Amino acid sequence: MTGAPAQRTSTGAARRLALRGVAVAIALLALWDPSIVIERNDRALVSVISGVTPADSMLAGRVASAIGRDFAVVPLTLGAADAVVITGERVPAEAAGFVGPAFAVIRDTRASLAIERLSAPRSASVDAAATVSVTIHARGLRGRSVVLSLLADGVVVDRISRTAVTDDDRISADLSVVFAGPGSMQLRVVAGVPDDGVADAATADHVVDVVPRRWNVLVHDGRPSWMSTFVRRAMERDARFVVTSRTVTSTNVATDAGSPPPRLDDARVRESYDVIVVGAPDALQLREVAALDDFLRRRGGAVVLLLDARKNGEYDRITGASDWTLRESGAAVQVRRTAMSEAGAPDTVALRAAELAWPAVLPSGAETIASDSSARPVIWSVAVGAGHLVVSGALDAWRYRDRSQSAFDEFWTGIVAAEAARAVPPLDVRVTPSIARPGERIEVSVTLRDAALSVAGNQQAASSGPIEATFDGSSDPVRLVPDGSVGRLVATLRAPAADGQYRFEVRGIGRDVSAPLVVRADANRATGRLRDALDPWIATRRGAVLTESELSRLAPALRAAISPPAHAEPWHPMRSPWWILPFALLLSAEWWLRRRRVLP
Amino acid sequence: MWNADASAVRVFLARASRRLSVMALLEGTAAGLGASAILALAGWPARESGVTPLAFGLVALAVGGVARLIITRDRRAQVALLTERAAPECRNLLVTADELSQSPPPLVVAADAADHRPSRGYVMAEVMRRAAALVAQLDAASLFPLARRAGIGAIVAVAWIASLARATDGSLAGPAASAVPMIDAVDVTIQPPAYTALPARTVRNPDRIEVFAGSRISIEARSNARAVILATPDTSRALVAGAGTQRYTGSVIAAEDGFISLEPRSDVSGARRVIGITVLADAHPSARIVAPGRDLVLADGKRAIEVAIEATDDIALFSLRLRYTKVTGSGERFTFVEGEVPLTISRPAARSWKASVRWQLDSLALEPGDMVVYRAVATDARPGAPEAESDAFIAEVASPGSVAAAGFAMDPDQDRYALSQQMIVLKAERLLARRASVDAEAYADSAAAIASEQRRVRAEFVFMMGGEINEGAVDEGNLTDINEEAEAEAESDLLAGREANLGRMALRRATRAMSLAARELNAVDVAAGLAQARVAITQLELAFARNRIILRALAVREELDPARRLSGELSELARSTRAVVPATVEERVVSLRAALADAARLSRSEEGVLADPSFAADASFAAERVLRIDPSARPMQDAASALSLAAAAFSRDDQAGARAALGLASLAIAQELGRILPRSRSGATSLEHAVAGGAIGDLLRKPRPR
Repeated sequence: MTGAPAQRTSTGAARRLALRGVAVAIALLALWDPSIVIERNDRALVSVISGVTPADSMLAGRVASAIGRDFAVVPLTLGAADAVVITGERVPAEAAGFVGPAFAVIRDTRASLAIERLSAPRSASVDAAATVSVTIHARGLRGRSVVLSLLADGVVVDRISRTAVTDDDRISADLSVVFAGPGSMQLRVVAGVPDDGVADAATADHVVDVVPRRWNVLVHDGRPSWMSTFVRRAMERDARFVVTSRTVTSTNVATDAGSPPPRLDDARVRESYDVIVVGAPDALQLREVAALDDFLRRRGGAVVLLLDARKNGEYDRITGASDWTLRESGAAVQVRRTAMSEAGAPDTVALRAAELAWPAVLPSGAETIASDSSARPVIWSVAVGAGHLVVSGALDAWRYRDRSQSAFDEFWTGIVAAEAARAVPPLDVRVTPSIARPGERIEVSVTLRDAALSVAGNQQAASSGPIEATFDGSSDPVRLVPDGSVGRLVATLRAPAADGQYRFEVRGIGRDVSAPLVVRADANRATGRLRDALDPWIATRRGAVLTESELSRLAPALRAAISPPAHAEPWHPMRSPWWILPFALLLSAEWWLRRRRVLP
Repeated sequence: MWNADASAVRVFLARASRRLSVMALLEGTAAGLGASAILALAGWPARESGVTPLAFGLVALAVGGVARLIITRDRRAQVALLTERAAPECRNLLVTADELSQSPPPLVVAADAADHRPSRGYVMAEVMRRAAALVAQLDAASLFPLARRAGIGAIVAVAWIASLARATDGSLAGPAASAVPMIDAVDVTIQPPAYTALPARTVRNPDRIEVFAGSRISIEARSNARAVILATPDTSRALVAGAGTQRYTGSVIAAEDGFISLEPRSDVSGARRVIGITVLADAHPSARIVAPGRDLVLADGKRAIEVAIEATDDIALFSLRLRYTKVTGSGERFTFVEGEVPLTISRPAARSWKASVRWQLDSLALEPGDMVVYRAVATDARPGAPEAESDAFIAEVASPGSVAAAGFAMDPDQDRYALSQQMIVLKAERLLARRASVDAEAYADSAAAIASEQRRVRAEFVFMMGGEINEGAVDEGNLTDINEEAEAEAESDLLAGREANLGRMALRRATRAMSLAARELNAVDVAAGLAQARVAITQLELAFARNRIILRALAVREELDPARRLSGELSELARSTRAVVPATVEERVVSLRAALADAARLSRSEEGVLADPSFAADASFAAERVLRIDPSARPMQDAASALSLAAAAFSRDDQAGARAALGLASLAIAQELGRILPRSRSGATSLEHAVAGGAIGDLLRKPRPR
């Protein structure tokens, strides 16, 4: 009986000793703090950048959560980042320069609308209806009607409906806007689906500066010409034009309307007129042709040559056309504008003519404005310097000018108005963008036409006098600096914080001009074809475009694209606080055994 | 005994319950009237809401009473408890009895001898007996007195009537008074012209009415204004005020599209009401002979014709007759006799009649070659309206070789189309092609027939040219040469210019060739005739070429006027100068722009902010202005209607509705404006683009060697 207790006593002591020894060993190891060198991979750094919409921001949050376990995620672009993930279809400007692996996560394709393009004049005449061309990207809306509304200063002025043909359809349409009076006008295009909840409405804004402007047109006939006479009469009936004319009826004898300059090479021509319409151009003399060329190149104006007979003449020097073909027939044919509207709708304004003349080969860079049924370029235009030359070979279109036969008046007033609108003003100011959100970056550019178009531009610009720019009547001038182009000054500033309509005023070369700026917190601009930019950008960065439902594939794709470098680093195992736990347990067990044996 | 006692208790409680209901009703109605009185003093309901304060007060009274009854329903169910509270001497007896009365009556009323306690039935009977005795001493009227509440109700009612009188300016049943003049309602009674026999109709507050021309439009406007001005596109006058009422009446006669504008005026003008008027023209009736519906050639004049006629009108037909003209005679001696045929008319509807007759021609005594021309004639009741005639048909008694007389329709079985010279050539060519397959006699007959047709064609041309073509100057032997003798004889014509164009000569040669062609065809020389027919075509083409002016006729001899000749000294040449007059913008465009600006200004009222009180007046004024532009144009009518709706919405301070209506108005105005104005497709380009475009073009173009 005594052997057994003694044996138990020795066994217990051994146990206590072992426990104590292990605890002491832990303590000694902690004091020693041994170090081990191990190989370890770095945690990759991934930038997650959100798009502009709130939905894109929410998607960015989900992306960060999905990959945050495997990667170090930062919500901004770092040059040192191993990869970039963007959300939404727009490539953020801050990420555009990133050259590493890039991925995009876009929302799952569902019914959506986006206004990709909005084209409208920045300045328009109050006496004409302006055209606003839009392209809508409709996704997931096959067979549904998309209603496009155009609001001018909050008032609906046009509304049309189109049907999406496919689930990934682009709808182009022309809307028309009329103006109640001069001033800057906010245009907003709203694209929506009549059924609520199918797709969010898309909006795009634009600002038009409506001006009560009348274009100055000089009609010059080297000899009496029915063609130019009836074109002139059509313009005289149109409130958009102020027409001055001269018809040379005989040597040193002319019939004038208004006070035309005595000669085409008079300096007043360049200053006073936007467009010169020339009747019977075959009667032009060499110096008159040179004056027209000067008007085109140094004024940036437009010249319209109305042929009423095909004869060789000095005017062939500026047309650059040769090998003319003449067609005379008893039956009049239709000459229709080939210029399609931006929405692709055919232009219905047409002429009729029985005698046509056209060059066998158009000059390089020329565009056909109107052609007959055989697509012959009867009326065409070509850029000459900064100006535009329009040549009409519809020789007897004036015979068929009755409204029942053709749209003679509308055709020619439309042509001249379009050319006059393109003519560059002496002092031009542009604000880009013209509608902005508060605090958005704005660029103002001022162009001095004569300086920019002069041969010795620098000297002209220097002698053009001071250019002063102010913002919305403020006494503080806006600092304009040359941007490297002759006659062009720019300034960059931030849009005001408060919504409202503002104007940039520029004074110089004896003229005051201004351009509107509208600030709206909810301003939207056309998005452009985002995927056209996104896909190649991603492809060139060895990435992929994933949808939200494919988010689980993002982390593996990132791991495959990123190879973070491994590095050796010392490891001190005893510095882990977890060693306290076994150390305390060992000592506690040893103490418990002693208490059990009633030992001190 | 149980039943009698219980019945007495229930009767008492029912009586008390009724009094409690009356009390609740009095409280509720008094509260409703009180609230109505306070709101009336505060100006609610407003006049423009269309609800009178009286109607509102009565509704409030009913709502208050019903609401109070509903609210106190549970309380009134505890009528026994309420009675106990009013009569403490009941000491819970009535409540107990009420509860027991809802239990079945006791079957045993004897005492339980075993435990010396009264049985349950006995207790219930005793309670009920005592309760019956108690209620016999109670008076429900004194427990639940109504007098005080009735008094309060009366005071409230008096106060309400006083507030009503103040709110309506004494017209208790009328609308609320308003400092702003306004039109409460417009009743428009349209009395169509008497001839239409259409009943008058009355519409209230219309935006647009459609009336027949000549209709009388009576207007009765209810307004608080001192005067209501009625304006039409042409006139403006005040409506007649009814004696002692706020009703204004007047009338206009609808003659053409337009509008009626009603403007309330006191010290200031209130919002207008604009009513567009579309005048419907009374359409002419139409009559149609459906049977026989074609010309007839009768074997003799004793036949009968079954005639069926249909006539319609947009309002109502007035008469339908069958008229005929009997034509007898020949050559240049014709006799015409007019008459009518009695009809059997069925009138299934006022707008559509049918008539028929079996027309026996015996009475007309028609001879061979005579004819009768008949047509249906319908009228409506419009005074001065012209008769509407159907197509005329001919019934002709046949005579050998007869042809329908000129001026009347030809027999449909005959060739009614004039032959062209080209057809003569074609027929001659076909006849030549068939020469081998037909015998000589048939060939000759066919050639003669073509010759006859050739003469008819020639006659057509001769008549077309006035029947004065003189062939004398054309040599029969050579059509291309001029007979100089004949030319010399016609020298006076040449001097006068009548022979001054070759077209006339070509026409003369054509008719001459036609004569020759007919002659050759009669001689059965079809080939020669064909050649001449072709020459005729060539000459006709020459005569009618676009650069020929045929039939130039001068009434007087042409003489040169030296005064009109361009002559003078070269040194006296002067420039002709005229001033440039800038084109003005159309009045219609200016008006449309102003209307669009109005719509835009009114649309800018902020959401949730009270609209400017003048907006309603401005919107109605804009509606009138839009209609003045062109009352007949559909877009203007739509825009005016939308602006009127916007005015009404502004009056109700319904800005969402006003904005929606203004959107429709602006869209209609803008689309009309866009239809008138020229359309601009492009804007200014930047100088950089222009310079770059020109530079590229200059680089691409090779310099043209001269």
